[in-house]
Amino acid sequence: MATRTILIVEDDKFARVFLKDCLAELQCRIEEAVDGDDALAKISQVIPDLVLLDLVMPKKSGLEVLKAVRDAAPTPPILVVSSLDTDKLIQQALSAGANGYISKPFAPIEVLTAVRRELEALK
Amino acid sequence: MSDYWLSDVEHRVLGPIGLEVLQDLAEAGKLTQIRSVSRDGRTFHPVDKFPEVVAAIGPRTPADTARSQMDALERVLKYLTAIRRQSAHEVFRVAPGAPLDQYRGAFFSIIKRFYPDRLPPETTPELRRACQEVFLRLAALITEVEKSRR
Repeated sequence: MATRTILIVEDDKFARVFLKDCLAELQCRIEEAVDGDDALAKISQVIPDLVLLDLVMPKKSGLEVLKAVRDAAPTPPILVVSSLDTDKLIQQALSAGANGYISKPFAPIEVLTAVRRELEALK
Repeated sequence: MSDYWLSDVEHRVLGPIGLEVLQDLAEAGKLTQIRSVSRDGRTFHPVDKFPEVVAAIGPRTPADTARSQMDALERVLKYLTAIRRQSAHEVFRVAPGAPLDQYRGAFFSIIKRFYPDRLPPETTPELRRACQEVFLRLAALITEVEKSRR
């Protein structure tokens, strides 16, 4: 099977490193974007197999990235990873096309399980 | 209607969200550091130009946060020293053979206080570093427990 690519969109370096560590055992190629504009630029070059998306970022918010990605085609699965985990915001993100919502703080296995599930669904 | 963008002191943006979502977040205590607001996602203005947003997020007290930084740093460093010497069940205060769910429940309740994204932007670099160290130690411990149960 070809190596899968996961794009981590997160402005906090510490959180990016932690997410990367959580996914290490999947042996996927990990790309990183540090803000919303960076994410859209990277996705326009190479469409990843999965996106992990923070909601609060400089330049463009996660919700704007989510909309822009969903308006384009083809469009990868997107898992939102955010500490803003109120019901209404989760509902808004899911309605906007997110495939799942992981609340921060998370246990490594939560991320691993959600990512595995999405990658399995691609097969 | 979703038509507010909120920006914090680090120029991180959330939006577009409706007033209802904004109120929901504020009531959950997740919108205390908002510095400016936009109606189009491009031009931002001080929060006080939007009385409906001020009413939703309530009074802000950054000075209170700043005053407590030193006390907090001292407490976090003391906690860090303690958990570096302890095993998982001691840190999470559960029985050594407790179910994984109990460990995870304890992990989540403790970690909320230290997770970098949850720290106010005014947090000093020293306090932020100390919280990250605590977070890494707790994450390593829960990972260790999860691996041992697979």
